[in-house]
Amino acid sequence: MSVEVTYRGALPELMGVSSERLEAGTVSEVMAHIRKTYPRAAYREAKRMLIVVNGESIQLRQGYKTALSEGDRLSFLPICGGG
Amino acid sequence: MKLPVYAKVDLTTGRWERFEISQEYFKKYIGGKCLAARLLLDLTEPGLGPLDERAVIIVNTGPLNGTGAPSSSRFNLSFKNVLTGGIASSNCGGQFGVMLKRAGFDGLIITGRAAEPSVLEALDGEIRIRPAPELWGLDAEKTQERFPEWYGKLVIGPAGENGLLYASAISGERVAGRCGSGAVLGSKKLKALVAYGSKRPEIYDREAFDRFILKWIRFIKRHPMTGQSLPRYGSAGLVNKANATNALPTKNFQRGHFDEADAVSGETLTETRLIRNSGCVSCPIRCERRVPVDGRELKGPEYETLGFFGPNIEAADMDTVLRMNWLCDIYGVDTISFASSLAFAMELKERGMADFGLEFGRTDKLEDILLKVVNREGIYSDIADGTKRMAAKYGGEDFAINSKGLELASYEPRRSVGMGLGYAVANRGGCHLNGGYLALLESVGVLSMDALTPKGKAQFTAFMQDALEAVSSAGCCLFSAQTFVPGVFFKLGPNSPVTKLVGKVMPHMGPMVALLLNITPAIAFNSLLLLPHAEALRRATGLRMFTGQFLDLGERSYNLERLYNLREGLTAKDDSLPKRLTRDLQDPSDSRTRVPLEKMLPVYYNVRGWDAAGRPTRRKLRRLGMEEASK
Amino acid sequence: MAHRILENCIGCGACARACPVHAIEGAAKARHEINVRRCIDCGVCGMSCPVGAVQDASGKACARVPLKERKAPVIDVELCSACQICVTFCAAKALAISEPRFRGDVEAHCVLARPDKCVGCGVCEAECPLHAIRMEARG
Repeated sequence: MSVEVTYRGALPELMGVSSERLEAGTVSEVMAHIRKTYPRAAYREAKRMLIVVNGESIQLRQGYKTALSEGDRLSFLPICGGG
Repeated sequence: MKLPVYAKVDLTTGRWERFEISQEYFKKYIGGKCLAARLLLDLTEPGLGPLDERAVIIVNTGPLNGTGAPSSSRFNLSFKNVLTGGIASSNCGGQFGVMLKRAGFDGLIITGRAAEPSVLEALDGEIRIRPAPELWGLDAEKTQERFPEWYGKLVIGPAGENGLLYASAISGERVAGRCGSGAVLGSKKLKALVAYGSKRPEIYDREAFDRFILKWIRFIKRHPMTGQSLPRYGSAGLVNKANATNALPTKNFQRGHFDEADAVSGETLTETRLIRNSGCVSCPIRCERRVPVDGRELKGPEYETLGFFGPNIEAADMDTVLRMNWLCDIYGVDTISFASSLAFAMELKERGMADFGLEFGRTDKLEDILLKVVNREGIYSDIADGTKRMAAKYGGEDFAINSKGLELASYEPRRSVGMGLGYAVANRGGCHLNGGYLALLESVGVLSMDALTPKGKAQFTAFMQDALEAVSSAGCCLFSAQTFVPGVFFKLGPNSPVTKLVGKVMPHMGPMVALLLNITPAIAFNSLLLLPHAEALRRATGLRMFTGQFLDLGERSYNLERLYNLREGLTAKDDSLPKRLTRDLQDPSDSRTRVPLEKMLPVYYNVRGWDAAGRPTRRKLRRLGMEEASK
Repeated sequence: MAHRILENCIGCGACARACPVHAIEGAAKARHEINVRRCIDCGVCGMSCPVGAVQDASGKACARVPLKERKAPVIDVELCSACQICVTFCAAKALAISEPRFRGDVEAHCVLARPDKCVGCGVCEAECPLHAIRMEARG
């Protein structure tokens, strides 16, 4: 599946890119791509971020096992706080 | 022991007197909103209208205010809530509190009504009321410019003068937004309060205090939440997070998700607008956004303002939000209540029940309508009265998003049911902070305690409410309590198995939390991790103050405010939410996506030690050493 | 206890402009007065007076000290938390918070942005909760 991935927060600086199109069937495959392609620090950071598929957190779906469909939008967002 | 000194001011006669807080009161109620609630119970007669001449407004500080403790510039305003008729407390980070203390006063108790627009000056241990008709009509920014730059100021804008029920009070660029403090000051014809002096707050053990502050500030700086996330994205960072968990109120709380929300998110704000971050005096967290508005560098919006001028009116125009945020501030209008009332008006229009010329998705007329509301022109005067009163006139109670009359904050409680309980029981009405802010544990924080189960929510709500009340009473910002979620979870991230496991276990921890709340007198230790404020208070005042006593302080505060509400005629019936949130499912395919208040309320009353009608029992009050407060 | 302005005051206003707590008032060319409730005995008025018209709390006449011979703050930026307390209380507006180096930079600390404006009162040193500021002779 071709999906569009957007990197926010500290990731663009660590990776040198802020978005890309990928072939991936699950979120795990996207994580594997990050681990393979970018510096270790980027992977470490990506792992602790909020991962969102089409605007919905993967926590509400099947976590890393969440299946992706053609054209899905995936974002990595920093964890924030406040109120 | 140095006891707090207040000034009791009668605007009708122009007279004032020093008012020393007794040792008993200081020990039990410390300061801020807790002490203010007790004083309101003592000093006002039941049933008095919030805008009555004899109504009392208390502007006070806590022992940590202005001491150098982190995030300690927050002062408090307590008064009868203009929107709910119950208690109101409103907290502000401007310089007024710090300077009031330096002027030699820990608080002001203000009653009466001035014959003409006036200014209250608290300078070097003296109070002076001075007529200032020339200031009436000026916005908050221009009003403050009329005073020396170094004064601490607290002013109202035209909204307060015209009695918008949700008018705010402004100090510098910080706002005491909620509950209508501006309307109360306006009704007293008090346009501005200013304070200045050079008296440094006394500290019981300065050396030990300073040593602890150093440790505490380092802890704050190192914590991922207060050291990284809040400085980087401010509270605005929550927009995307809430959206990702369907907890971002959209289209007057019809939904919890808005596809275009990213356009008004904290990330977008930081990436495209942020000039710098800044903060209230004494705050190492520095969550304030500095952004360009009309070519000037001004204060940026908080999460609530982004949510309400964005998704909740089905819009996503960042520049509109920035501008509306600023305009609301200078006119003295609470952004939450105002924007929520706009969304309600939009839905009324959609359903053909009323037409204010407002439509979902349209932002072009907002500025014009704000002016009309501020000036109470024609039908726009109805919007100035908030959603509860609008619903009474036009119908639509089921989707008038308020509790007790105060509009809810920007967390969709159907995806954060503990927050829903908090909104319903909060003493000041639909407020997330007074409601215990469970959204942070359920849907917008790093932890994810099951957001849809009622299990354990009552206990956590009571605990969080007590903690937040105590932090406020001490004189610190609630953000300084954000460190209590251990930093390790941020390092692991929300998708780590450990974080998920903790989220799973939390709903089952209810009985443990309840036990903790019942054995507070025995908790004689202080933890930097849990609530550093207790230790700082102990060193600043010399009082026996450990985590247990600190939680007791919060519980006292919460019960006092409840007693005030009961005295003023509010009952358990008012611990409610509009039917949209308790009856209608957010996701029709998931029967859990509503707020099961009926399941949580009885447990909550029980945990609180209240009877079935939501009244604090004798036993509870005796335990808190304030049996006489219910008389 | 407070400083006092004597009869030989020429009303030039130098002390009033320098006072870190805005405790001095007076009309131009008229004898100025120190608000004793506000004076913190920092001595800046005495150091600023061109005619030696200021007396300290013990009754001793104050000597004039040129700006460059007065102490100025040295900031330990490692310790500083950018809490702005010193910036708030610096009446001379000599202190500021450092500028961000890029959009979104959150590393900030206090800097002596305008050393020429510093009057050497030492209020920043006294107020800093972290003791990150020390008053030292100007180099």
